[in-house]
Amino acid sequence: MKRRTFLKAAAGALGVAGWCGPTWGAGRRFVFWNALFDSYIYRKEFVPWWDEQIRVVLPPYIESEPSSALPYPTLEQRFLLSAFSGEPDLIEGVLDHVANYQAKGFIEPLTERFQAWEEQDQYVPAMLDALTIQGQLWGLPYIGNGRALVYRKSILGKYGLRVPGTWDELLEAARTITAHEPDVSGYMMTTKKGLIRGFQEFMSHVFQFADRVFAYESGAWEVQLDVEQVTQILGLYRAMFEGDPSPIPKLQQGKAALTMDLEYSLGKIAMMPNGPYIFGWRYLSDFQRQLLETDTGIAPLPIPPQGHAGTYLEVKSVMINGFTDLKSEAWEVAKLWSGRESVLRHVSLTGDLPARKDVFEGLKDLVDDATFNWQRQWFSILDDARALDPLPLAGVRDATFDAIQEAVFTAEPVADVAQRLHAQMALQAQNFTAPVA
Amino acid sequence: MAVKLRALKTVRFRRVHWKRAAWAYVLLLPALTWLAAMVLVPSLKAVLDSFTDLSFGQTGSPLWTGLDNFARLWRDPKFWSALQHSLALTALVVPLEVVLGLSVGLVLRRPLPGIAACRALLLVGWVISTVSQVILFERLFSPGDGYVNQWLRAMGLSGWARNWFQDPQFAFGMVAGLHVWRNAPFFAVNLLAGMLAIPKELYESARLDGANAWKLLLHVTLPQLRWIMLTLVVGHVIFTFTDYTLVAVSTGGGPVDVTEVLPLYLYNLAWGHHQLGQASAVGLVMFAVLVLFTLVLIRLQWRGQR
Repeated sequence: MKRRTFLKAAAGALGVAGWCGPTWGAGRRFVFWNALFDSYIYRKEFVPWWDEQIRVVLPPYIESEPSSALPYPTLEQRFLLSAFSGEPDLIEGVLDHVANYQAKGFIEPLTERFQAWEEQDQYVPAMLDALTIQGQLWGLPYIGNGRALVYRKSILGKYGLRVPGTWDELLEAARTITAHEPDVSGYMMTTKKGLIRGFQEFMSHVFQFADRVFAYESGAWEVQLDVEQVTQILGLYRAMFEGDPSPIPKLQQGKAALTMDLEYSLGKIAMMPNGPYIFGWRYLSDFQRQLLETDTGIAPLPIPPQGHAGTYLEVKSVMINGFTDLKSEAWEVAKLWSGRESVLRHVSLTGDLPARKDVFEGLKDLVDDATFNWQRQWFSILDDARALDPLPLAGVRDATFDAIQEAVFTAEPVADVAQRLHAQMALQAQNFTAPVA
Repeated sequence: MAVKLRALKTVRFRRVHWKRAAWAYVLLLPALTWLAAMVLVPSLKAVLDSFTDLSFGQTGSPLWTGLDNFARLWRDPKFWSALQHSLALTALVVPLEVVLGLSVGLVLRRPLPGIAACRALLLVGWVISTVSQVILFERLFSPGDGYVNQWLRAMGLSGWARNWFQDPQFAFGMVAGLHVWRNAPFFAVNLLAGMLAIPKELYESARLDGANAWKLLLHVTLPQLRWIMLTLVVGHVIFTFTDYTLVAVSTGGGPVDVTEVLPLYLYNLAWGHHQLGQASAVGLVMFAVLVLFTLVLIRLQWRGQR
C-alpha cells in the first residue's frame, strides 16, 4: 500500500471513529420524560437530588440522560410518535395518558413486578384502582389530587358568610361577594374552550350524582347520569352568569384555568373549585404565600339538590415503555420515583396528595407546618373522590366543552344543551371496548 | 469553411453549456435530496394517509378507506364552520395588512427626523415569539385590568368594557385584529424596502408630466411594488389560513366555536382523537384551497401586468 493511500485510509478511519465515538463510547442511555422538571422550583429543589439517586439505582454501564421536561400535551404527543423506538424508557403522566397508551399497547403491565414488591401495601388502593385496566396495573402512582372548594376565609368572614354546603348557598355567597367587592369575583369556573381543567371541574359535578360516568351493563357501556342530572350541572354553569350582579362577573366568561390560579393567589377570586396543586403558587411572593398558607380554607364541593358528596380524582403515575429493552432498569427507576423519599419531596413541592400511606403517616415530621396543615385539609376530600374510568374519552371531552360553552355563552334552554350532551355521551359509549371478565 | 466553423462553435457551446448545467445539478442535488426527504416524501405520505384509517399506535397496516374520510368531513357541520371561519379570517386579515402596511410604509419613506428609529421599532413586535405576542395583545384587552377597558371606564364608557376575546360578538374580530397587529409591520417594512428601491427618475419624469401624489402612488409606486406585494400576499394568505398558534393561545376556538378554524379542527382530530387519516384529509383540503388561491392570484397578477 502506498504511503499516501495508507494515510488517507487512516484519516478516514479516524474521522469515522470521531463521528461515531460519542455514541459508541457512551453506552446505553436511560431516558425518562416527565412534566414536573419543567418548573423552576423542581429544577432547584428536586433535580440535583434526583440526579444523584438515579445514578445509584442504574447499573454503571447505563448512563442517565438528563430527564426531559415538557408540558403534558407535548409529552403525550412525543411519546405517541416515539414509543415504538423504545425511547423514553420511562414516562410520567396523568390518568388520561395511561388509558391512551394502554389502548395502543405502548406501555408495559406492571402487575407481576408490583405484586413481587414488598412495598405494594403502602399504596392507596383508590389510586391503584384508577390505574388498573382490564385487570392489570399499568402505572405506578406517586401523587394525586381531588377537587374541592378553595376559599378565602377573610372574605367569607367579612360578609358573615358560612362556607357554602349546597349549590344554592354557593350561588348566594358568590353573588354577595361579587356585589360588594369591586375587584374580587365571588366564584370562578374554567369556561375557556378546550381546557382539560374545565372537563375535570365538570366531571367533579358528575361524581356528585353518580360514582361512575359509564358502567358496563348487560353487554354494553351505559351513561350513569340521566338527562335531568346533566341539566342540573349545566344549569349551575348558566346560573353563575345570570342576574345582576351575577355570582361570577359576566366579564369573566371564558376564563382559563391558569389565570384563575394566579388570580386566586393574588386575592382576586374568593372561591373556586381547585386542587391541592394551587399551593405551588406560594413560592412566587410573600403575599401569595400568606394568602395560601393562612387565609385559604378547603371544603368539599357544595352539593346539588338530590346529589351527594363526590369529586374528581386525578392520579399521576410513571409508566414503562413497552418497547424499551431496559424494562428491569425502568422498574427500578419507577420505584425510586414513587418511593417514600421521592414522594415526600413531590408532596412538599406540589402540594399534591401522596400515593403512599407511609408518607401520609409520617408527614408531620417530614414537611414544614404549612405543608402539613394544607395536606391535612385535603385528606378528607379524597374519601369522596372518584377517578374517571380508563376509557377513550376524547369525544366525551369535546362534547362537554361544547355544552359548557353553550350553557355559558348562549340563551339556548339548558335542557336542550343537556339533551345533546347526554346523547353524545351515549353515542361515544357505543365505541368503548368491553372489559375483560 | 465559415459554416464548418459555426457548427464547431455550436457543438462546443452545447458541450460547455451541458457541462455547466450538469455541474449546477450536482450542486443542487444535496438541497433537492433534503427537500425530497423532508417535504416531498412526507407530503406524499400525508396524501396517501388521507385515504386510510391511520391512527396512532395502530397494530398492522392502516386500511384503505377510499373517500370515507372526505365523506365524513362533508357531513360534519364543524368542518364547514371551521372552513368558513378560516376563509373569512384570511379574506379579512390579508387586505387589511396590505392597506395598513402600505400606509405605514409610505409614512416611513419620508426623511423625517428619528425615522430610522421608527423603522427599527416597527419590527420589534414582529420578532418576538408568537405566544408572547398573543399574551401582550390579550393584556391590552384583558377583561379586568386591561388597558382598553381601563380607558373605557376612565372615559365613562363602562358599559362598553367587555371580555373582548371571550365575547361571541367580538372574538372573531379580536383574532383578526391580532393577526393584523402582528403582521402589518412586516408588510410595512418589506414594502418600504421596495419603495426605497424604486428609481427616483421615475418619479421625476412623472412629475414633469404633471402627476400629483395620488397619481404617483397609483402609476409609479404600486406597479413597482407588484412582485413584492404578490410574494407578501401569497405568504400571508398561507400563514393566516394555516396558523394554529394565534387562535389556539388566544381563544382556543371559542367562545361557542366562533373562532374555530381549520388548523384547530385538524389538530384536535390528530392529537385529541388520534385520527391521523382524517386529519390528513383536512390537510389535503387546506392544501387544495391554498393551491387554488395562489394560482388565481398569480394569474391575475400576470394578466394585470400584460
